Amino acid sequence: MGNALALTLELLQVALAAAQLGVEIANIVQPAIAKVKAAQAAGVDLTDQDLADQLAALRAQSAELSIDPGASST
Amino acid sequence: MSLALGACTSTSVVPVPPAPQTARQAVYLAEIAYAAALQVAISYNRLPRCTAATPAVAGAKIGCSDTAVVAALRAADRDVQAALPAAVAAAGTMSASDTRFVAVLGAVSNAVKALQAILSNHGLTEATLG
Repeated sequence: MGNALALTLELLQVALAAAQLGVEIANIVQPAIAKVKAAQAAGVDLTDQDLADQLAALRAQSAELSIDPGASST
Repeated sequence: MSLALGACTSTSVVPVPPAPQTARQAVYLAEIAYAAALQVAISYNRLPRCTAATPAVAGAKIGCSDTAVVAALRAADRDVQAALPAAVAAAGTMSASDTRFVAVLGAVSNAVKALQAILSNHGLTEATLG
């Protein structure tokens, strides 16, 4: 059990440090981390719906990456 | 294990993530890691594309985006998106110790790390993007 969970924690720690969080990313990350902490404090697990909602949000976010900005100056 | 809190800027603070206790929590936290990297990629993509007349780096901030780097980020993002559904499904039916779950979570982790590597290799962070 330890390996998979430790892997995820390490991944997140690296991601957060590498991103050099500003307000924009903090606004995304901090509520999500708070949600996990709240579940752990309550002694409950996240739900399948929690994961599904997060996945849907990430798909929408990912779609933004496919959008080209306005034409660059020529 | 706690993270060092960076107070170099008014907004540069790394929250301390909790250690996941279940498969669902592990996937959820992996998704958070992806979201952080993805947001940086999106910020980079939003920049106008670099041209001969547009400097690639404007002072301490990156002022434009390279087409090839954007393409690499998009490809890496597609890999993460492809790996996530299996991990989400597995988290709902398997324990964190299940080797099948470890495998699908590993696929997500590797894909997110690949995305992070592109960002790191090009010095792309929320702080450096103009």
